[in-house]
Amino acid sequence: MLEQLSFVTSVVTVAGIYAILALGLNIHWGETGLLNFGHVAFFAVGAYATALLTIAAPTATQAYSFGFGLPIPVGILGGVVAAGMVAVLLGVPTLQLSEEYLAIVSIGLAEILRYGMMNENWLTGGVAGIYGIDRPLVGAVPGELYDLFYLGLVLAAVGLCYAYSRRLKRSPFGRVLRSIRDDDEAATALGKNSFQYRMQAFVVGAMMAGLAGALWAHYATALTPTAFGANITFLTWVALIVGGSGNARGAILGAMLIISFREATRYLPDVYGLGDVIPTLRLMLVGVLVIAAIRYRPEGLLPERNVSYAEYCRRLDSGGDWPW
Amino acid sequence: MSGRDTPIDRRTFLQTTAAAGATLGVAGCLGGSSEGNASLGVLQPFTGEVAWVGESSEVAVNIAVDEINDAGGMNGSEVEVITEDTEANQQTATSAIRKLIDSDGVSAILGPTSFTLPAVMNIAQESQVPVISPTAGTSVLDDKGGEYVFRTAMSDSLGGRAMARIAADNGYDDIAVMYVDNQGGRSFGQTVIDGFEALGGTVTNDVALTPGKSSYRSELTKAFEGDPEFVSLTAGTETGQIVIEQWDEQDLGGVWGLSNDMQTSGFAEEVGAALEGSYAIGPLAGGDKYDEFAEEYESRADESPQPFTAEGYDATIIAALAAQAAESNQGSDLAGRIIDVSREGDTVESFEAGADALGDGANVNYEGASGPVDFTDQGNIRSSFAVFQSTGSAWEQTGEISADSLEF
Repeated sequence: MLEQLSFVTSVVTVAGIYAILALGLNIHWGETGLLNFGHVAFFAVGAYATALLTIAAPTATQAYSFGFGLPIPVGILGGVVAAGMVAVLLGVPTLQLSEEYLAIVSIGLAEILRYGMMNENWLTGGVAGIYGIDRPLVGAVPGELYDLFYLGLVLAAVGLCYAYSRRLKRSPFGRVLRSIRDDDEAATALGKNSFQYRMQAFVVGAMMAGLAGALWAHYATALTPTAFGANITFLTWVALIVGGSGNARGAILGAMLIISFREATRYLPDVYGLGDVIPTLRLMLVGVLVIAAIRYRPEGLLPERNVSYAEYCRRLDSGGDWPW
Repeated sequence: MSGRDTPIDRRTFLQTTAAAGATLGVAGCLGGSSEGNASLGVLQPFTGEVAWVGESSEVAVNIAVDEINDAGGMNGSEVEVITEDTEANQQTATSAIRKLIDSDGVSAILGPTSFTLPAVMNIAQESQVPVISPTAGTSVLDDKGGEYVFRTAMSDSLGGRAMARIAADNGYDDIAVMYVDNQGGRSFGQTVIDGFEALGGTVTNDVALTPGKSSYRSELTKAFEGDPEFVSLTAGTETGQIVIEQWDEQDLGGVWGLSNDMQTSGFAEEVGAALEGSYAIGPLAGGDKYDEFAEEYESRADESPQPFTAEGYDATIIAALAAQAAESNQGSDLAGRIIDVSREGDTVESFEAGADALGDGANVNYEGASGPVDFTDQGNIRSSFAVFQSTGSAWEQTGEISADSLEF
């Protein structure tokens, strides 16, 4: 039983990291309508930044030339900030244009970064990667409970991002974002600087992806470029579409569903004896799930709730809890 | 708040919980490790670009496991093979190895590749389950492992040094190095460079190749800028063939030193006369043990053995012999005997002979289908190489490089 628990713990940890990614993408696409196809880039920047900040200085045989040995919280913060800075650089040329430009440039950025990781050995260790990244409080938490402790950390981070997303729903800032998403020109006509708001949303979502990357780096303790393929971007999109874009709970539910679906199918071969057909089948099933979601629940399992302004004011006046 | 105002209506709520519940239910019910049986995990990519690795190594492992079960199993328990897909992706590999260790309780894990082994190494270490990889050649692992991480695949750095040795021994002073731009190619290429410079030669240029292109003319121009006499090329057969054909068209001169991927009879024949006089490194001709394995592999898979399959077979037998030596199918117990059964004692070539000898209280030294399989204290194998030269239509073995001459 304890062994099963340990497997479930690792699955939920990975799912939690995807949930943070999905929450970030939800701010981009769900709230602001930014078509970001390079989400994994921010994930990678966060992961590599925290790795380089916290790892010990390299020895002569290691390819990379930095390693600052800073405390882990500084590393995670650094990862988040670095992802945000990359978002600014990417946003400056693309967010003023129509949304397709961002889609193309972001997918390009993700590939450029991946090739950068593979080739710039002095920075990232190249294809060999970076090893021996520290885990937080590894001595202080008893070994058998460590995975549960780390799961707690990840869930706390999911909670933080969820709280922010929820706050966004009721804040004036969030309303501007949604107005830009629904009608950019109308928002501009009302005097809102659309570029500035998009940029802010873009940076916030990227920072969440950076946080997910930092948490992944300290969980895996080793990074190589193979961890940052385009499939991560697309799995995050699948999670958001199935869960419901524009709804933070939907993003979390989607990530949990997709990851547990993928992991649960690992147990199928034991039952039906299909052997190595299953891995291939699993990817097809994920595809079928997306098609089914789009056909039968195009807005996702937990769709976004739209409330009229009058209703919004009434609820605020009555002091009721904001229910999504 | 009720009725239409409720943010999530009852129908949505029910559908959502049902979906979530069903998923968790499937995960929960289907788990559970089988009691009494011993199991070995195969952790390899079964989907994606390198899916062939998973498929072919599963065949090899099954051949070994059938032999083990025919000889009475591991410490009397029938061995079951459990395969998990890594998708050659670190995140998936992490969950997959956890499932093999925590949920299936495997005695040892066979795999994975260089792409994912680094990310799962520490999990094996913490859980005290040995990982024996028949497929991870990356030179990163050269100084890691030996306790819970082993490999029957030879390190890329050995192949690279063998290539440097060929160039130096044949009197070439200036060489260029070309390699396909992936983990294996890079680590091979880098060790050719380091090795050749350590032997006192000059590397005029090194060029990374993106696999799958239709023209490598600009890469060739760059590689031949300094008029190298010898060019080391690490690539798969498809990329390699295009590179060599375009080199021939441009009449750039020099000879090739090809990595073991291209040391196949089909390759020498297809490329033909252009290749005459060029070198390749390859495994020493396998003994009877290899032929026996190859025959069995062909009868099961309808193709000649893929790279790394003999290594996969050997890794499986070694794991089972170690369990036999430790008299336990617990990963933590058998890990300590893996190095012993690979190099200390009577030479045996099969699980059955090894198990008998161990039962009589002897130590054994397993020699397998891929070679002598002697682990170093860091869990790597030492390996000798054969040197081949092309006659213009086939590879002909012209020399041998011993494991000792690669220690420089």
